[in-house]
Amino acid sequence: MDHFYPNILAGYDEFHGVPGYTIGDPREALGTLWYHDHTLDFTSPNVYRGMAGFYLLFDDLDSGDEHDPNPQALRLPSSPYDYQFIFQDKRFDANGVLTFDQFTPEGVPGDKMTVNGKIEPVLHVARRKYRLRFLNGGPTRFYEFYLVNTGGTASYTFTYIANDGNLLPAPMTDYKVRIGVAERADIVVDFGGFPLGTEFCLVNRLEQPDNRISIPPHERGRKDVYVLGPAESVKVFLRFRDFKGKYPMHCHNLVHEDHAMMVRWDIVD
Amino acid sequence: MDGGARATALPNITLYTHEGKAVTFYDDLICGKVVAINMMYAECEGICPIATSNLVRVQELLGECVGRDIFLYALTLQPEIDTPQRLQEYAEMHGVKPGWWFLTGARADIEHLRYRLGFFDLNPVVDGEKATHTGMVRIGNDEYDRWTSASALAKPEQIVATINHVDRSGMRPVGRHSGTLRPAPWHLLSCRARTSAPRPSFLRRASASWALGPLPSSPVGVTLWPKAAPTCRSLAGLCCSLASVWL
Repeated sequence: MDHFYPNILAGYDEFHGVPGYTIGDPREALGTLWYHDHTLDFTSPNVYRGMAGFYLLFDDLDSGDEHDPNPQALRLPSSPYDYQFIFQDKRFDANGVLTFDQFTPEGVPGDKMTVNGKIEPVLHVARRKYRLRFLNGGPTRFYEFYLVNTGGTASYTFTYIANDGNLLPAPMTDYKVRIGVAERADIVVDFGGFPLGTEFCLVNRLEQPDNRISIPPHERGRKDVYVLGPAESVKVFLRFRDFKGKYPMHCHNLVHEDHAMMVRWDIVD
Repeated sequence: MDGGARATALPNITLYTHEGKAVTFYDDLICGKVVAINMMYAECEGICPIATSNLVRVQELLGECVGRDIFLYALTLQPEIDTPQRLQEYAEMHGVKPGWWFLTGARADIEHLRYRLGFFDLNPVVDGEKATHTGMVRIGNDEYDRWTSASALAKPEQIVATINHVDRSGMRPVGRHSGTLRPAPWHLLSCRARTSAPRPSFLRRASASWALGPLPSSPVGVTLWPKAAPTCRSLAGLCCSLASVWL
């Protein structure tokens, strides 16, 4: 993982022993994380080959059990109705062999869209609510996904509940999910109101980045990846609460990362 | 990439060294080699002279390996002006030693190569500025098809570490079944001995399946690696271990 997460809530020293808290700061809870190859200077070719996966964490609130008897639990749709998607665009040669150009500093957009390593797969769903976890697995392309009918003439709303593994301050109704590389989005889609046999398409409609002037709602919670366009800057609050050590930070256009766009925070006493 | 799926084939255009010799880019300069390539032009008063003097420090750190294990190339952005003679004067002025070639050629060939090596910007105005292309060093190992880059103004030790990171010639399997590679003890290796001896065949097989495939299970004899007094590579190896702190 890009950030060090020892599977306990951060803020141990402040919260441990405080009545009502077991360990750490509950605001530091995380859910949808991912891990990937991080070979120095060669992250992009390796992640492009598929060396990436989800790392899901659960707690009392987001317990992974939609029948949880705990009254505090959110009872979000749980396995097998909790489904993960890694999106990666890829390019193949005439023989069907995966290709990658290491010389292009901006990266080569793929012409084949894959989900969990398969080109344009189909997921059969039941007529009920699903938790869908989206991850932009890179290496370069951004996405703005819409859930549409097969003709692309209607798009459907859903509930956006978490970004980068952090539950949003409140769930919000939305109709698109825009994710930069390494960014994650958890949405809840209710397929319950549709007739049996209905087909949907998840389509990317992002043609080019727009120049955002305000922080979009899904970026107003805690995050670990920030989308920056040309000439944009961002101020972020970083806190190193528990552990000394080395924390890298890098451009998550993986090709840029491999071209030395990486820095390191060394946290000392 | 694996097998025949290299999207990274480099052009085999003809270039001219600062010594006036005609060379083909891929066959003579890249094939099977570990290389570091930057772009410059002799009359550049911006970043080029600083970058060149920084790379002179890199050449000093790499020592006698340059021209044997590792090859340095500087490609001019002004081929009409930078004749071999002019590039030779530039190299002499900066104290460049053998094993580092300054290269010129036909404008169209240089431009093609510049794009192919990734020295370009998508914005045509920015791309038209020669200084845009002088800030990075393209570093790679053709045999393993491993390419990356470093800032031309990075600390020389960092650039050496990046070169070491693509240079797999010191890697060898550890143990019969361990499935891992570990850097060979650099202090035992002489670059002269390693370049004159053919690379063991198991390493060639390993290279073809480096990223995904299983490692060959051939037992490794210590005798495959000639022991020698510490050489230039002991310093390079030190830098490599410094780089590993990053990982």
